[in-house]
Amino acid sequence: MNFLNFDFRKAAILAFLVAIPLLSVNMQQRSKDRPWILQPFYFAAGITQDSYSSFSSGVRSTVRMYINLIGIKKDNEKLQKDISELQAKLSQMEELKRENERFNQLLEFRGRASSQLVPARIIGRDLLPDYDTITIDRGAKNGVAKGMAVVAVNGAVGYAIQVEENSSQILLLTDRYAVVDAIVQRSRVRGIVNGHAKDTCTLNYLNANDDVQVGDRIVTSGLDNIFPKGFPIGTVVSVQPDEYSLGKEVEIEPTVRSTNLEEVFVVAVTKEEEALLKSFEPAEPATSPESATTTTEPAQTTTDLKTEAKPSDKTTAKTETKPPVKTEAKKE
Amino acid sequence: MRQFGFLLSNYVLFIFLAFLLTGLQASLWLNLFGYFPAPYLWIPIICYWTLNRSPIEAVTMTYILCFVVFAMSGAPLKMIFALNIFIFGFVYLVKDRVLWSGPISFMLASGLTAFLFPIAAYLLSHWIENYPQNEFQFWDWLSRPLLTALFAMPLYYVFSFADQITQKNPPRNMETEVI
Repeated sequence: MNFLNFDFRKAAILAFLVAIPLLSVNMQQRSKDRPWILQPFYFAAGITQDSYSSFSSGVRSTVRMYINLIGIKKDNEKLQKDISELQAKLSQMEELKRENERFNQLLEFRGRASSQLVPARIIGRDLLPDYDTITIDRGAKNGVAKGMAVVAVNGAVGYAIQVEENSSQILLLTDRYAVVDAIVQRSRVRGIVNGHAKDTCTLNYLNANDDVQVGDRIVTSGLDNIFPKGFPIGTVVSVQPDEYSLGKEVEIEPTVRSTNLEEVFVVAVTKEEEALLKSFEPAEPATSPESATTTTEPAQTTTDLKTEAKPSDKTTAKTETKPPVKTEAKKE
Repeated sequence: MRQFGFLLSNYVLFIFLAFLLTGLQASLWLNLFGYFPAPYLWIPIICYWTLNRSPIEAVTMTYILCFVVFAMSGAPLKMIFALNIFIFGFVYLVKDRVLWSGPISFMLASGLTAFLFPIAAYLLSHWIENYPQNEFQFWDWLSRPLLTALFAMPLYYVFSFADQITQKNPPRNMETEVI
């Protein structure tokens, strides 16, 4: 009789418990779509996994970054150093390139000039700001003599007023004591260029009817026995009638600015003068010892003539009046 | 004789310093800073000697400095003499009225002299030279005294050291006081 005594409640619970896995297996097998009941789980699982994943990848990348930082720091330092070195080299290269261009210009200029030029570097400037002189690294030892002209690629610079063994002092054309015989390139009118201020010169001793216009180029006349003919001095920037005479006041902007100068040339002797000097040299020396000693003499004489060639008296009326007087007055 | 030797060595040392300083102004400054106005570096020497030496010694040094400056300038010698004597005269005149001593006062003296120097140069140029100055450079006039004053400070210690090694009494370390 106990067999009929069946507890339905217990049976129902047992059946439910058995049915859940069966239903689950069944549902999984039946449909490939996500069942609606599992969707929230998937959703939650997705969020959790994403969070973990993000967290772990974050930690991993942080750890990796931290581990790599040491290496990166070293690499960075090395790269920074490389960049600095390369930048320094680049600027050095840029400087060398510019220097090379400048030297090329100088060489080209030296090649086409009809004079024997001594290249020189500027090593100093005047102690007093009101006087425009520079010091160059070439002196008597290099064939520089007092009164020799100094030029740059683009024009006349000045002339030597004091010559030492290894250096020379150059009076720039902008100095108020500087005087150069000049002509207007277009109209061939002649005058004397005087230094005026830091960056200006004046063309003096002109007549009222002399043809000078703004923009005219002023070049050396070659008559002062200092500069060879035709070197640019500057450009006319203003022409006004002189208040105190019948002449004109002509202001010139020099072609060469002293503040841009680095290298200059000393015009040692023109090629014609050199040829002339060579023509005075004696014929081939004899082989005897006596004649060997005599051969040194003419060579010495040649150098003397070269150095003394400039202040000779091949002058004209205009040049005799001013330039020598001013230079002498200055250094004496 | 020994004293004379020390005095001579003091002169020689200061002349050497003068060449170093003027060379720095004319050449080294040009290489480092181009045509930016340079300080007048011989002026502090004249100031130092005028303030700390007898007038005869100071004038002698001033004359020697004229030749040092002349060697590195295109200015006429008469102009350099006039300017250096002006510096000496000015500092000597003020010395009797203001108690100059100590590095800061020396700095002020050098700066003030450098400030007056271009004005004196302009006026003396019109008086002495055949071709006087026809422009006044304001930027130079303002910047050079400042630089001169700045350089005067370390130079004071250099000059004091030079005095010490040549057995000259270094200057008393008192500050400016207007009497």
